[in-house]
Amino acid sequence: MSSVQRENPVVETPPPGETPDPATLSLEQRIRQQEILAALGVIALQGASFDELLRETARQTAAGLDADFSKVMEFIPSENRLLVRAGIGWEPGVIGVASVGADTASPAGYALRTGKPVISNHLENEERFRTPEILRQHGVHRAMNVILQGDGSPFGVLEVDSRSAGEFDERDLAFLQGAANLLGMAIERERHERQLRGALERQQALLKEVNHRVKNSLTIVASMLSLQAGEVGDPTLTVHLEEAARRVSAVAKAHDQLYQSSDVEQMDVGRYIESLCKDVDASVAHCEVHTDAEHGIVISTDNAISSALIVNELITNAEKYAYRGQSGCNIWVAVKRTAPDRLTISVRDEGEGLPPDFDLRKAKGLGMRIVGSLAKQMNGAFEFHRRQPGTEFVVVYPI
Amino acid sequence: VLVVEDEPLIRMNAVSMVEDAGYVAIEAADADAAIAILESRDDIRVVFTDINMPGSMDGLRLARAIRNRWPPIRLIVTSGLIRPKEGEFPADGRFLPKPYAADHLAATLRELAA
Repeated sequence: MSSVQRENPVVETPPPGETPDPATLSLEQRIRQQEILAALGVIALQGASFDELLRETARQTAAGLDADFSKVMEFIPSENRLLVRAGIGWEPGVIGVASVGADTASPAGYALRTGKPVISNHLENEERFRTPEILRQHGVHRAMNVILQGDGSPFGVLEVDSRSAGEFDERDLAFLQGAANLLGMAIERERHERQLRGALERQQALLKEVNHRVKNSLTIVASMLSLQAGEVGDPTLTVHLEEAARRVSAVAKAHDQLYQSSDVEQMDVGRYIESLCKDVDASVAHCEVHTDAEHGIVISTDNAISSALIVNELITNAEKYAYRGQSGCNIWVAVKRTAPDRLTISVRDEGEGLPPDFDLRKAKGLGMRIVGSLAKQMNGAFEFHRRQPGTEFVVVYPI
Repeated sequence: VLVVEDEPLIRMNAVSMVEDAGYVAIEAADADAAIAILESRDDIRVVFTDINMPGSMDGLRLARAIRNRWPPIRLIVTSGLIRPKEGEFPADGRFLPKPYAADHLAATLRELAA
């Protein structure tokens, strides 16, 4: 080797069989450390699981420093101890179990309390700190401790230990602190995510509670109207109050459905109308309501409620006018997707047909006006078909 | 009286209250439809509008637009969520909190139309 080559060890490739000089070795180690930090950064950003992240940090820092042991310790404030959460090289029964004191008399505790890194290259001569028992048991000669800083309170300490002779220097420390900072960032992000998840869960629970209360309140209103219907002593008024109670119940039913689902913005319109029809069928003794509702058509809650109100009005209408309140009446309700983006609601009776001059646009009854108005709101069409016997009312709207 | 309200059942109810109070009611589902109606006819004396509506304008902006373009028209705004502060809607307008009673709306209409 010429003297010129020796001055440029960066580009030098040592000849085979020759021992590389210490400068090259040291440089190679620094490059490896850089690569490890880069790899750890990627793992931290990719959002690996928390335990995986701790394990990987322990493994990589030990590798980067040619150390036998490494451990990530979490500060447990209630016990004032640092618990070994992850590590590499230790005998069984250390990880998840062993802990060291978090007071400033232990090197790890000192790093945690002061934020200052601690290098102990000769533990057997160490006088500043007491050497933790697990280090003694594992024959550790030298150790390095750095703080794992979170946003607010520190998470704990990252420690690397070695049995071999030699010394950890400032550059090793910079590497370890770099790894600790990356881990600290990832831990902080994980903390935020956990808090967000918690907040989201609380919000969803609250939303459920609100829907439950709305449903209960509406049910109380419906019950009061229904009670009044029984007391009023005027048959016409009784009918009106019962209709009002049923309209309120139809809306209450939506909140019952929402309360049981995880999504409040949308709902399965078929299931909702099916359960509404079941209620109406049970409450109107002289009428049988046959329902054929397709499941799995999920639409906005607003439109689902409008659809249920439409069905409710059309059933009332059939019962009142087509069958004139007689017993033995049958009403068929169908909810179907008739095109990929089109929902068809149909209510059919086999009662007395509509008068020959019936005109939907001129219909004065409240029920017809409600249906027309709700259909229009959904950009839908409201029409009727004369059947033999009876009538079918159809509302079609885009979904 | 032009009734501007996006919720169809509430609009139906408002229209019937206005009619029961003895006025002719015209209806619009949002601010844009209301403006189109105001541009096409000149017999509207009062606009009764909800504040919270979808579309390009809410009820407060609609009220201000009407005040600028049709100064003689009187305004009533309503909301179940918002209590507008003074200065947020025209000084000669009225605010009715939701839910409003038929009597209250009728009295307000009489006062404004007088």
